[in-house]
Amino acid sequence: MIQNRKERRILALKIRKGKKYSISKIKYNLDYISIKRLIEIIPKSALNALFSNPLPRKITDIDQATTYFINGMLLKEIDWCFLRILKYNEEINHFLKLRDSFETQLLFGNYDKCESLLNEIEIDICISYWGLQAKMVLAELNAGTEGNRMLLKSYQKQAISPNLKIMLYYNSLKLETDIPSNKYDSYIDFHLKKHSSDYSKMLADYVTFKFSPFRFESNFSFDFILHQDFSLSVIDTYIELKKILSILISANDETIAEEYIIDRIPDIALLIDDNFWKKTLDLYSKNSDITDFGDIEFKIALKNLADNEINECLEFTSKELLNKPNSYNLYQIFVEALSFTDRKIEDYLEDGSILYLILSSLYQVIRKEQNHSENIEDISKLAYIFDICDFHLPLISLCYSEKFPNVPESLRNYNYLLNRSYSLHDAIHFEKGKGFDYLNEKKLFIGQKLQIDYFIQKNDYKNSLHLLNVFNDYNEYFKNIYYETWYNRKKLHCFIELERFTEAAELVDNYYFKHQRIFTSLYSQRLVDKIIELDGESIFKSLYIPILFTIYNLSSSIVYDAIANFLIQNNISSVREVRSSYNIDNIEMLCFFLQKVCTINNIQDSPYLRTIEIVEKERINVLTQLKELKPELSREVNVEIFDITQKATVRYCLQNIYDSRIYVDTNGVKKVISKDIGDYFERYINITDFSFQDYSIFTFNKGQEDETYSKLLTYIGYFKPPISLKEYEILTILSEQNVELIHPNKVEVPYSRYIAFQDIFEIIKNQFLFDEDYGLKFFLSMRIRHGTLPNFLKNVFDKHTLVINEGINKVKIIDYWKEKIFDIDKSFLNTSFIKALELFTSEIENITSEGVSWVKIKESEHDRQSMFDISLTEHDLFYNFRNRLGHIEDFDTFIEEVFEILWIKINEVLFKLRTRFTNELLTKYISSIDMLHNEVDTIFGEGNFVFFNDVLVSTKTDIQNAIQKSLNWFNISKTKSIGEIPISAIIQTSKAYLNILNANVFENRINCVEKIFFKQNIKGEYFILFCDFFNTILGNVIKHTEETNKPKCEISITGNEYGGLTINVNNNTAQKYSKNLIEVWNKLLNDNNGNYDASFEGKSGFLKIKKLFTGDKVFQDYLFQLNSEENIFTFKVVFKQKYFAV
Amino acid sequence: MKILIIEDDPIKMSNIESLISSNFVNVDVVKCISYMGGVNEVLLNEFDLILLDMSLPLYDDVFQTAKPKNFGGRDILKEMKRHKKKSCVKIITQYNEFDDGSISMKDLDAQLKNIYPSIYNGYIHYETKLNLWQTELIDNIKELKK
Repeated sequence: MIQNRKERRILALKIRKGKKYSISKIKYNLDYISIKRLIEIIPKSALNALFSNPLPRKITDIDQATTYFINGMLLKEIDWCFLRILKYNEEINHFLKLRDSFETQLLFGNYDKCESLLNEIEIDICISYWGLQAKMVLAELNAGTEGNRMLLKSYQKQAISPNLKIMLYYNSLKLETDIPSNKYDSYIDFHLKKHSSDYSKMLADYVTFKFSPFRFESNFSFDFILHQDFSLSVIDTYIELKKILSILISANDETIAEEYIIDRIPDIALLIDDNFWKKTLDLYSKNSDITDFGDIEFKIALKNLADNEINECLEFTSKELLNKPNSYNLYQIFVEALSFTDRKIEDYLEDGSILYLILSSLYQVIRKEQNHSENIEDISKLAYIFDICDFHLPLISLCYSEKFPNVPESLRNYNYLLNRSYSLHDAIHFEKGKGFDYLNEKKLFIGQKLQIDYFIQKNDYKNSLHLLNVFNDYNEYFKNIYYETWYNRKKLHCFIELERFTEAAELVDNYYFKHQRIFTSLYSQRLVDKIIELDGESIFKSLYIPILFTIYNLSSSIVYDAIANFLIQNNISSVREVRSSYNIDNIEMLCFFLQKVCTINNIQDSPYLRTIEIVEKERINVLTQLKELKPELSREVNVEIFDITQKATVRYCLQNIYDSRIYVDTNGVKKVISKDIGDYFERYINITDFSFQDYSIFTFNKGQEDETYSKLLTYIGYFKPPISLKEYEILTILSEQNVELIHPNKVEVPYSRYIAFQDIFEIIKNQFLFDEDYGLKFFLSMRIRHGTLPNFLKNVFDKHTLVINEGINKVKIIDYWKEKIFDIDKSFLNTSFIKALELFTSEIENITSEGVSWVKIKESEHDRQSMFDISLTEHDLFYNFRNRLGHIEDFDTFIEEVFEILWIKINEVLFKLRTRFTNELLTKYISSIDMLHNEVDTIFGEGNFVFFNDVLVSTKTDIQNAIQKSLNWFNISKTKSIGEIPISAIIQTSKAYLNILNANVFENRINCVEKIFFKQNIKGEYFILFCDFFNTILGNVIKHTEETNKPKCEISITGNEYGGLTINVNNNTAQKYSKNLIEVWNKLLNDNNGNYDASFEGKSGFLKIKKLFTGDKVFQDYLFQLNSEENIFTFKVVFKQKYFAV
Repeated sequence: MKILIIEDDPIKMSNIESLISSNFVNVDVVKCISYMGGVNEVLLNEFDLILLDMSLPLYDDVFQTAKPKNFGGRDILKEMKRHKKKSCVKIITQYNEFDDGSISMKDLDAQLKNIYPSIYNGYIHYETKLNLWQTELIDNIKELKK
């Protein structure tokens, strides 16, 4: 290390002669004093290189000079900054003066003067990042975001340094009026996440610290931050060093060597005209005798406030602020004083200036009005905009004290040290400062308030609590919500520190009951953690704890634990017993407990409430008690009870449409059959002997004419009444051996009757299976095949982001997985990984299509996929004629019996189908998932992509459960008794059903609003029909609602001029429909002569809807009205009567 | 010996059950598929061993509207402690992380050991590709049978 004068002189000579020398060696090998001496003797030109161009003249020069950095040498970096500042002290002093004027003019709103001052700084001193930021602030204030962006563009064109470009970009974003501060913070978080693999911790620290005005933690890599800023101007170094030192010297970290830093300050305090250094010495140096900071204005204002001389205080502070608007230590005194009066800020200051804006924002926050959170956001935004000015600090401090129990010491320090005077609420500084003795008199409110703060900062919670307890003498101050909240916050802090948790909870609860709201400053995570740690102990005997957790808006699981522990500690079996078993005088609290704590979500984990129905019953019981206790809540309670019963109805209805989806509208089929072949059946039963042979009804199979014709002349017997199966089998065996026994039940009829029977059976079967309006095919298609089953199954994979749907941007999928991947190479995401997902998607599509293809009626011998083979063998048909149907002469009974036979066949198919789904289909899905697992293991290394592997595990469980659920569909739908039901419940049922099929579409994507002005209920027998209607129409909405522009849908149900019911569903759609097409649709939908052509509907589902209503006379008189205007599609159906309603 | 399995994955449930029945005689296995079914079984009956999944549906019904409980297994342990139940509990899970990666099974294991030291007996990582879980489970049951 170069330590002696001679070596130093040699080095200086080398530098002076322009010979090569190592800046890095100077920085790291010379001590502070040696460098200080060296810089006195080297030429100015060399200084510029040594200090990395501290006074850049152009934007292009910023961040271009070489800097040197060795990680972990914070004190060296600090020294280096001190030396830079010392050397350029004149420039800094000039800057400080001009900046003071700039702040003053800015607060008055004189933006032109501000501009001139900034130019003056650039000309007289240098161009700086601070100056560029300040100009962007002016651009935003003068010309709005557009102006700010234009200036950014111009800067980015000029700047060479990529770092500077990024810094300017985020600065511009921070200033944009429409971007709230929390949103800006999330942009920074996103930036850091995006670059998590590229950025070192040091760089991430730099971005966080530099870009966010809200960070005062001491664990940042300050060595790197100082080094990085060294490539900016000396102005930027000066500003950043002050902030960092404030944080470091309040961190009480031995490694920072506070003394080391303090030793450097006297030099700087002598040369730089900035109270910051004097106050730092005053606070931390043992030998300081600097006491006067010219804080007389502050002392007067504080004394006025302390003596309750509010008017004097307001007059004085406002006058001072008009004279020196950046005396920000007066801001809070002014607004606190104002809060005791009915006056407005306008009475003291003119509207329109930044000063006015800041003071009114502070005022709104301390008044804690209803929109308190928004008001905090407002001051936070102002702090972000003006973070280049010192006056942003009271805004940041207030944000902290409103959001958290304590303002961090580093911020208090920074605020205090930057201030021209002592800060109002800082007791430690109050103790250290001189001349405030009068505040120690206990009678004075402010004095006592400061003493309480002082004890708390000294961790003396007993004394602090003692003072708080006698503080009630100042009743008049508690009329002011700002002081009242402060008092409660401090008391809460003491209770927590003294582990008096029940009292802490009681305090928060009481505050809440008084004001009906709670502020974030009264939220304590420490209190929550401590109480949870005491799980099961007697603290839970108090009702305050579950109430506190509810007020704190904690998760249901935590609130449930508090309730359960409360019940156990008080030996109470259920929440409904609390009122009768728990001794409580405070009715308000009991009501809150019943209403807000014992909600369904909070009690449903209880093992004693085994089903959702029991949970609902418990809740309704609690609500009924609540009505008795507080009749004024009846209306609110009744709404909730109605909501619960409605949900229960929806659940029941949903189960109804969800389970057992195999359905045939047998009444409809029967009507068609009766109409078509009623006469035929008459003729059939009349074939009793050869005297009546209606040959016209016979159909002969080609090639078998002779055989059949010869059979026409024979007899065939049926049994009336039918005989037992065993008896029938014996008779059949004997007959095959040509032994014909005369059975008393046997009735002989011509063979032609059997031929007619076969015909009739086939006609009924075909109608039952294929009728377009009522048959199995229609319902299979509507309720299972089209959309429903494939969506339901694919949804499992969609939910886990494993499939790439048509029209979905692959980048989105990659981005999703990028966020879930850590510590492994992400580059494969765009290539092999996405390919693996594409392959998997196609596998899933194929498997699903295969499964769906099984759920179809077999219509030809070549169809090998369809499993609904309902054909009967000759033997079965023969048996059915002889021993089951042949004797039936009543057509209705005959049809019912055929239906019964067909249902048995369908049941056999369903059994096979369920087995095939459980085995074959599930196995295929599972092996596809396994293949994907192997593939991804190959791409990223076995087990490396932990999150993905866990997702595959969930997917396996989910697909098993989904298939299990879908099996319920493959049951024959029995008519379940649903009583009359409100149409709103039907819509809710349909939405709940479609949510299951489409990834919670009505919660996550489409905002569906219902406007129901129809008070009658729908008859139970029409429930399914209306569900089918809404399922189809809302299914269409899901398919066609516009993706981009806030998808929405509105359903309105009203009475109409005909005395009937009108349903109107509209949604925004990306598709445009021509007027002609709409006209054709309307014409065809309203055609009641059966002339409509199925091909017109495409995949619109309109034909399905029409078919729903064509069968039943109840719906005969209706009118469809479709319309499409300006991307809004409307589907309207007008029922001119309402026989379906009661 | 009486073992309760609380598990909602049918294949996993069946694998665990067959492993037990093929390796041990006189073991009575009771099965539950949800948090509610499981917690009631635990509170009403005594078991020598409870094999617990972590993520569980709230109710038994296949048709459910309630959200699944990410930490259903942990919540069952919580109820056991609250009701002073003493059965030995082993978590058997396929997951490495829970709650969208916010906590690893290892950390959760440490938490559970700390909060429920007398009933929680660690976890077995169930991985179909490997047989390790089978050996571990068999060893555990053997140990308990001693």
